[in-house]
Amino acid sequence: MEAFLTFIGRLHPLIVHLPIGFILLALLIEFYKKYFKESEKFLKFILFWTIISGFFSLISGYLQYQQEGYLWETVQGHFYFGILTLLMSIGFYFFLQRQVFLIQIPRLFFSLGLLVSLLLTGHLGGSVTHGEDHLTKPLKELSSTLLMDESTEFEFQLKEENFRDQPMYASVIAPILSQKCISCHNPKKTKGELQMHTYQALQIGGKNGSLINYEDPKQSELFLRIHLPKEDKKHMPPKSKKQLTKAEIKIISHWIEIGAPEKQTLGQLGVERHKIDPFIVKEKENFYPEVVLETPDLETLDRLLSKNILISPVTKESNLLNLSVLNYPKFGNQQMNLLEGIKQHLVSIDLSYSLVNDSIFYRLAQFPNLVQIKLNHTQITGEGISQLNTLKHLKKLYLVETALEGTSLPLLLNLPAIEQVFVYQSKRNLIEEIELTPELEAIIEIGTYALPRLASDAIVY
Amino acid sequence: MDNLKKLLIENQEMEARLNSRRHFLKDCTLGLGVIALGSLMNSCSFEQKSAYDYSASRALNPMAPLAPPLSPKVKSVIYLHMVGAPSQLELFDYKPELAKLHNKPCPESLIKGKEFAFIEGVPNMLGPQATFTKEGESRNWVSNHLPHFKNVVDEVSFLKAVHTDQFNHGPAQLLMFTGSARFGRPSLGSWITYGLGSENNNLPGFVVLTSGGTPDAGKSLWGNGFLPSIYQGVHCRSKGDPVLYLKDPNGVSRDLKRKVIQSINEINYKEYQNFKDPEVLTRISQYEMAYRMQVSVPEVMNINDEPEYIKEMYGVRPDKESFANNCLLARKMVEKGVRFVQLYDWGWDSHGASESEALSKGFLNKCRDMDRPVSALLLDLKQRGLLEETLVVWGGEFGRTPMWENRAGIQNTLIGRDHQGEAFTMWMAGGGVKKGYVHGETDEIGFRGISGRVSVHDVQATILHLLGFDHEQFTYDFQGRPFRLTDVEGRVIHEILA
Repeated sequence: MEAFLTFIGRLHPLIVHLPIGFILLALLIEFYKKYFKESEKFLKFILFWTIISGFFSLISGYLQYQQEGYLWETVQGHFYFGILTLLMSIGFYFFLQRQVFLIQIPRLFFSLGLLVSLLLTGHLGGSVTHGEDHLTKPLKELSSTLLMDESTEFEFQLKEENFRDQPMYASVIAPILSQKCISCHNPKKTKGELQMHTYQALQIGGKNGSLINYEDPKQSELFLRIHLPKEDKKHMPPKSKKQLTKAEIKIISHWIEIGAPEKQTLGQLGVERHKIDPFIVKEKENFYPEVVLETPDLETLDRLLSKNILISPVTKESNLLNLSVLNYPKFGNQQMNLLEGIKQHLVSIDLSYSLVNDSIFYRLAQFPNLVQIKLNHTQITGEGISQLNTLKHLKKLYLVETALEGTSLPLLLNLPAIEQVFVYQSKRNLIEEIELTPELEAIIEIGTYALPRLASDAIVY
Repeated sequence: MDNLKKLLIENQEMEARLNSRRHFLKDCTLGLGVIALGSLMNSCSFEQKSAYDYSASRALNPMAPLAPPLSPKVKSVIYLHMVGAPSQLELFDYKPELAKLHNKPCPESLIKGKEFAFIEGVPNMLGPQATFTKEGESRNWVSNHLPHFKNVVDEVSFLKAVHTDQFNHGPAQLLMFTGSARFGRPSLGSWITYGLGSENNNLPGFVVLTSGGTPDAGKSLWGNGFLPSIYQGVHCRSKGDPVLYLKDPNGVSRDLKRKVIQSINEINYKEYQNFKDPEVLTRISQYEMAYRMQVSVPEVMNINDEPEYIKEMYGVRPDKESFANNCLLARKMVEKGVRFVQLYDWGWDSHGASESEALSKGFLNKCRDMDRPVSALLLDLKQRGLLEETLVVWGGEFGRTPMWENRAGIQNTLIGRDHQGEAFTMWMAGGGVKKGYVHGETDEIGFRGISGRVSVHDVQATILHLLGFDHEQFTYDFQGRPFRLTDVEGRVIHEILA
């Protein structure tokens, strides 16, 4: 029986096209009805079969939803509009039958309504089978090709480590030209008979000769054009197009001044670091976990702010949050309940100077994205610190001026991502108890620095 | 007049026509349908849910903390300024060639067309008045006047070729701290507290501590300029009452004070609602801040509870005004969430015109009193995990000449150097800054920068960058145009960034 139902369900994409066809035919006749003598009869006949086939479509569609494991959220729109379409056809049918209660509604309501609900049902159905952006994706691609956004081959790939070994033309100049010039100066579209997609093309130049004057670099066409005032007709890129940045003008000028070399590297040419800094691709630091989160719960934020708890995103527009209870010294373990709504969002929590004790570790373990925890100047001794082992992003732990016991220190090595732990105690009770292994020494900052007394300290000149 | 009346009547009629029952049925049913459709189509919307406005709290509390636009490396700044301009040639910039030229006349080509504050005619050269050794793993030069600093030299990034276009103290200090040599611009700390606010409700966000005397340019160095006055620096005294007139007068209880302030603030708030003048808000928050500070400031300014060995490390002098006390206070404040702590230590103007200004005497005393506290501050911040989120900046308003000053054309009897803006040394340490690094180099006699020259605006741009600002985007509209700290200049010194 199950298999049979699935089979019927899978017939849905076939069956639906019957009522679609019928409705379109009915609408055609409806709009051209003056050309037919007995259009009303035709219409009634077609609508009758629309209702029959529509009914089967509905059933098969519902079966497919049940059998094939679709989410209700994804299919509900399609389902409701499907029902609406069926109801509209039934309504139209009875309107044509001259049912008294329907007769007052304008005829256009049924025909247009049927068209709209059919289109919406069809679109939503397509989105269910092919995915949300199935229809719009080719449009996006089309628009990007229309805008000549073909710069994929020349991208800035300068890295901090090896930029000196990269040829200046290929790694800096070509990517700039490809972003700002090539859209008008390429083999397909060659304004001013000029192409700029290769080094050789620059040498050949266009209507006004070569772009580069090796004899007198500052008279080079390229050099002159980019330095002309923006209003000048000969200024490039044209006023209406995206302009070169200051840094880009500077580096292109510098390149021409030193003779527009093709193969030499930045290191060989001795180009200063700050000149090419804007073009160096900075490796993204992943200090914070890369998670995509919804906007945090606004009510929770309001409640926290009203209690003087500081909440701030790590940067503007970020959904990752820092929290500090600096202005709410009465914060204790129970108040952790206030943070339920932002469990995923908290990456850094500062509970320094608060009333929390060792059971805070059990609470903190429920905040999976924490990178940084500060418990400075609290009563914690370190019991239960192993609870934090579940935090796979925790990198920094601040336990300065606490009652931390030396026996807890080796447990810190079990934290999966830990990089640094600060455990300084000005009363030095912890340090005397413990001998640090090399592994511990690598992550623990124990402090207790001193500056020896020197004879010169006491000399008064 | 009749025409006007006619028009008014026509207008009324038109409005009445629009309010008819027929109009409602005809037009509004469609509108209702559209509204219904709009909510039905909600799932097709591309718009994100509106983000939470963290800055909303600024309306009531102008000091409410805000996130910077870019990812910040540090949260706080401690700026140690040696007022009078310490000699780079006796501290960090080692010039052995200069020793060979000692007491020989300066080549005229070197000073032709140059302006000096005091030097006239042809002065003699003055060799380094210190011995230098390479210290730390970074093998960077440190002079014998800074024996303790040798322990922390691996923490700092030197800028050896900073330059300024001012050669007198007042304007040079103004340029260093407000970005302009003229009065009227907001100070560095004001810009920062304006942009970031401050975390601790009970302490000012921008604290100024002075020792030795007031800087030449006066309180404009921590003034708010055209920013709302809540962002000006709060000058705390390290001797006696930290903030004057903060204590309750005799016979006034704290409760009574609370009630008085509450009533005044309510009246002020009505005033604000009428006129929307931000200065009223400033006044309200200053009353409240003062009330809270009555408890919290004496607490944070009290260094007696620190352990003995910490006091010894800094070399503090209890109950006296000293740079060492101020360094320890700076650490305590940053620990409590103060955004910007500015220290001014007066007395580095070593012309050689008097004993206290001589490189052989007064200067050495200044070195001794600066060396230990600064080194201790870096170590103390480090052991508390604060150095990673604090930027420590050290410098003067300019440097000193490789020439022996000859005031009025006669060589000073005591050893001293004149003002020099062309090249001087500063250093930065803390979060986001390279450790044990040197950027920039001066010529053989330390007269000019020959590579890695950076300007005062570059230093400011770098400080803002580390706090998460793009100095070119961080502006305030005043008198019809946007202003920024670095005016139209400044380049972030990426070379020293970690």
